[in-house]
Amino acid sequence: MPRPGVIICEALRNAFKKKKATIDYPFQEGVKPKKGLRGAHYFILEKCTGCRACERACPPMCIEMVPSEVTKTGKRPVINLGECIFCGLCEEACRYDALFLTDYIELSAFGRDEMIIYSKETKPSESKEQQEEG
Amino acid sequence: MAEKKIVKVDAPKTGCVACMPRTMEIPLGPQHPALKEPEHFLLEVEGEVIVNATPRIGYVHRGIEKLAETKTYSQNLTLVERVCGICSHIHSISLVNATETALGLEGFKPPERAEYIRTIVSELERIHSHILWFGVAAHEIGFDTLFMLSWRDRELTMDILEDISGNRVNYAINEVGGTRRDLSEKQIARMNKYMDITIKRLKRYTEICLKEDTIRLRTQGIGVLLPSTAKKLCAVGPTARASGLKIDIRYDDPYNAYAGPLRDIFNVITYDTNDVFSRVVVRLLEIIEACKYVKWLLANLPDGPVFIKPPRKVPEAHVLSRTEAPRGELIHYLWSNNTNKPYRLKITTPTLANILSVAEMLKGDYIADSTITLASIDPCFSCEDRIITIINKDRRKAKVDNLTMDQLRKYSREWHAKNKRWKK
Repeated sequence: MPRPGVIICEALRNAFKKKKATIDYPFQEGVKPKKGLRGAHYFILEKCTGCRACERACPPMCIEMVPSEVTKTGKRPVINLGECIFCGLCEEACRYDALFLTDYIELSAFGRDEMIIYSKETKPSESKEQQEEG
Repeated sequence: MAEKKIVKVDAPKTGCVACMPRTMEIPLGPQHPALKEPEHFLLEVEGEVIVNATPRIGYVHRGIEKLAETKTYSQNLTLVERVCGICSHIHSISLVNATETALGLEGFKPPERAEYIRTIVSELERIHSHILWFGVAAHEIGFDTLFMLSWRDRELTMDILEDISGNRVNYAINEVGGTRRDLSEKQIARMNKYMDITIKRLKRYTEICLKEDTIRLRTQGIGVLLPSTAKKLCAVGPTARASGLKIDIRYDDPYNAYAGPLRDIFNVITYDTNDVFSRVVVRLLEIIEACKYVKWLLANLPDGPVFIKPPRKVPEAHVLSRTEAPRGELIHYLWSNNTNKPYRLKITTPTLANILSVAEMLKGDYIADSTITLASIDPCFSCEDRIITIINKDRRKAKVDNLTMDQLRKYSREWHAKNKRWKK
C-alpha cells in the first residue's frame, strides 16, 4: 500500500539537527586525512643528484630539468603545478628522497607563472635558514 | 519604397488533417540544461509525444587512445583514469588486467592481496557512483530533498576512498604488478563501520522508493525497454538488468577477486518492470550488495605483499579485457609489441552500448519525461567519444576526401603558400 510523504519525517528530523552536514570552508578548516594526501611538492636540493628519474616517470611531462650548480650531474627539476596531475609517481621514482608530495592542497594562484615552483635555485645555506625559521 | 513581393502559397484548407505537417523536429542539445555533457538528440514529435529519436555523438573527442601510444604502461594507468571522472578506477583495472595477462605469457602473476584491494576500491567506486546517480535522478524528477540526503550519505564512501588512496576522484592506486598502497587495520575498521551505516541508510531509501508516490508516479511506465529489445540493441549493465536480463561481467566472465570464493555469494540483481522505476530499484539494491561484498572482502583479505616488480617490457600480444563498470560492460583492447609502450589501445565504454537503447526508450513518451529517461542509463557522454565526425554546412552530407601522403604534402604546400601569415 503506497503511503504519501514518507520522506517528510526524515526531512523534519534533519531540519532540527544541531550538527551541520557541511563546512563553511574558507572560514573553517576543511577535513582531510592525517596522512597519504597528495598535494604540492617539496623538493630538497641537497639530496638531489639530477638523475632525471622523476622526469622520466612523470605522465603529463610537467617536470623540466634545468642547469644547476649544486647537483652531481648539473641538472635539477622544476615543477609546473599547472600541468601536474598529483599522481605521486615522481615521489616513488626518486631513490634519494629528494622529492615528495605534501598535504598542502590550497594551490590557487593569480597567473600561470606562479604555478611553476622551485624555478629559482636557493643555495644550501639559505634553505637551511628557511627550514629553521619554518 | 520597394513594393512588397507577393508570394502565392497553397494554403491548406481548414480542417484538412492530411495537408497539415504531422510531425515536428525538436533538437535537444548539444548545449541544453537537461544534459550535463554535450550530446545531440533529434526528437521527432507529434504534439507532445516523441515518435522518433536520433542520437548523434562525437562532440567531446579528446584523443586519449592516440596519447596512450606515447606513454609507458605505468603512465597510461594515470591517463586512462581520466577517461571518466566518476568510474575512473575501473578503467585503470581494465588496463592493468590486460597488461598483466600479456605479462602472464612470461609467467608473471600479481599478488593476491593486491587483487583484493583493487576489487574493494572498485566496489566502493560502484557505491559512490550509484548514490551519485540516485541523487541526480531525484533532482531530475524534482525531488531535491532526496538528492540532498543521498549525497550526504555518499560522503562516507568518498571519505574512505580519500583515506585509502589519497584522492577523492582519481585514486591512482593501481600499478602494473600490484597496488601502490596497502590497507591498515585502522582503515579496515573504519570501512566496516561506514559500510554498516551505508547499508542502513540505503535500506531506508529503498523502502522510501517503493512506497513514496512522488517517485512512483514520476518513474513508473516511462522509458520502457522490453527484454527482447534490450537484447537486440546490446544493452549492458544496470540498464539491461532492469529489463530482466541476467548480464553481469563480474559473474559471467569473472576477474580479480570475483573469480575466487566471492563467486559463491555473488548475486546478480534483476528487476522486471522494464521502466525507469526498475532502474532505480536495481541500482539501490546493487549498492546494498556492493556494501556486503566490501565487508566480505575485508573479512577474507589474504596476507602477503601488495606489489611485485614486473618486467619492463611487455611481450607481443593482443588482449581483450572486460570489466563491469558501474554503468555496464567496459572493454579495453590492448595490442602490445615487446616494448614498454602499447602499440594500440582501444576503449569501449558502457554508454556507447546503451545509447541506442535510449533512442528506443524515448519513443512513445512525452517531451517532459525525456530528461529522466536520458538520465536513467546514467549517461557519460564524454567517455564514449572515440571519433570525430565532419559535417558540411547543409548538415546532411559529409564530404570526406581520401588523400595519399604525396597528395597531402602537395595540399599543405599550396595551403601554406596561400596563407603566409598563418601562425600556430
